[in-house]
Amino acid sequence: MNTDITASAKPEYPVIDRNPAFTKVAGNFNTLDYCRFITLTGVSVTVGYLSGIKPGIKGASMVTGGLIGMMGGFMYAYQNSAGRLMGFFPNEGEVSRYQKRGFSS
Amino acid sequence: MFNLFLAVSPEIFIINATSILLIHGVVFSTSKKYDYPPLVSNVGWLGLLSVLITLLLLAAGAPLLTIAHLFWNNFFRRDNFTYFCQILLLLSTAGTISMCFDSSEQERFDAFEFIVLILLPTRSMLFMISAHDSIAMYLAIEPQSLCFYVIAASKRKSEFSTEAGSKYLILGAFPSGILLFGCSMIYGSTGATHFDQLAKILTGYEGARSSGIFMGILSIAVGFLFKITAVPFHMWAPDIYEGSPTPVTAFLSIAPKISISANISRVSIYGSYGATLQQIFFFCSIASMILGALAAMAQTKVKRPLAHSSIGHVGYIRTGFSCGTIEGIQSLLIGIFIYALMTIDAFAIVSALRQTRVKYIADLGALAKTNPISAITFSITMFSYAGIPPLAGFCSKFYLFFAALGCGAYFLAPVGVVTSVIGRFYYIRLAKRMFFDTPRTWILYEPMDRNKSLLLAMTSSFITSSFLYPSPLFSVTHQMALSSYL
Repeated sequence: MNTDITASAKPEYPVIDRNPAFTKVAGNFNTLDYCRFITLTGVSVTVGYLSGIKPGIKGASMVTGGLIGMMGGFMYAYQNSAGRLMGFFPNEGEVSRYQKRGFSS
Repeated sequence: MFNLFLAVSPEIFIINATSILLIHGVVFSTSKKYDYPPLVSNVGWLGLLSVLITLLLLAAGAPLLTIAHLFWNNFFRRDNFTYFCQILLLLSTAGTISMCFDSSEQERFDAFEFIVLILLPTRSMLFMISAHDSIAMYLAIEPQSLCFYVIAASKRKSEFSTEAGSKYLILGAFPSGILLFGCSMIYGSTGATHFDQLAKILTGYEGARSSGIFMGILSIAVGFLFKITAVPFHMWAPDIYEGSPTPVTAFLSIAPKISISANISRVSIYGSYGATLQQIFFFCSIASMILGALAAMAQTKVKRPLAHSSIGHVGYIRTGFSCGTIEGIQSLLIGIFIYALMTIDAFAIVSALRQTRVKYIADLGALAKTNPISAITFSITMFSYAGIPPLAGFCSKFYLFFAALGCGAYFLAPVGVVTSVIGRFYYIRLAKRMFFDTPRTWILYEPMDRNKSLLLAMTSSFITSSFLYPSPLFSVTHQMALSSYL
């Protein structure tokens, strides 16, 4: 299995890390990423609660909605964080932070 | 290594969300503590949320999703063409799920699995649109087809639904076998399954120099044409569309057309296009247009003319594909986009009318007097189907015939125009029945629910006002068509 990270579209922004590890990406979450995660989770919990009123399973539906929202919110935040590290999304914050530390390969 | 899965994060999300919804539905629908609640609405809203989050992951992560195009040995390809088709598919799925909420209660249809069985083929179709290998393509088509067989029969208390599911199973398994036979013939003759390799081997291939390649291409084309209800492989469609629950019919009318059209574009435009395929598709386009126009005239039920209209529109959309040019692919994308919106619009209204037991065209007599807004919206949708300017349907057909003339298909375009004119008979007949005929029986139509109203407002406003500013759609589809050739 070919595990080489190459993209058919070239990164437009400086590449901090071409293939960052999971912990590095998760550790690179900024305020906006956390907002995305919390917003999606909150919206999903709300949808789950409201849709659970009629069948009488508010709590359970809220939990299910929360699970879906947490998963989606985390994936959305992870996608953005990884994209900034790989140079696909604007990453001035990461560039300035890693310039101070020195870029990793 | 982990980041390679970012390339398929929308698909991974929707698979996981579907699994969570399935567990949620099984646990709580069989719960004595909660008195065995009907969960279609609840799972439907959570399913709609899942589809919208998938759309967000796809749309927001577009540049990032092009990574790892070498992953899985080039099984999947992500480009602008893929994005457009996947986004359209997800929007269509969201529209279909929106139709389900009230209609499930009115039709006493309380199986939550219905929503899960819409999400599962959506996942398969997302893979199918991006498939770049024969094996990946077939492995994506089969789960989609299996789910369709089951949801066609999802209304277990209805004989028509059971019959529809049985017919679909038998008549759907057959083209799947033919499709696989075609892939195996191509592999046996060329040793390749990947579309890049096929493109290199089959470039400049004209005619039946190899009977194996010819049989393979023919079988693949037949398999695909069967699945999109193109003539002469359309016989199953009216019965199955009529027997299935209305939201299922809407889903079957839209979603597989998008995914299979995208896939067949990749297979044939990129992989193996030539005179052989072009002649097959020209013939099927003409036959679909003619039959779609003529066969609907004798229909008396509301859903069957829409089924034949779907067959006719497949013919129009195939026109764009048959050209084999960038303008042809662009017109195909425009055609599919506008067709999806019109079909969602039409079936949302039909679904609302079914709640008051409207099955026959004759039952529409009182609609204009009791629900004039619904009647006007339905009429506008029918006029758009008929291709009457300045509605969106006219723009779609205009561009399709324009592309046909541009590639030299001087017979195809006039046939399309003539069949459009003939087809207007049954579209305008519906409007005449609603506005000018005395109703056979006076039916009290129930008010439409909020979800369908919102859906209709969005789709109708596009259909009526897109002519004012069509250039965004044209420029986006042109870019998507260009990327399919790269």
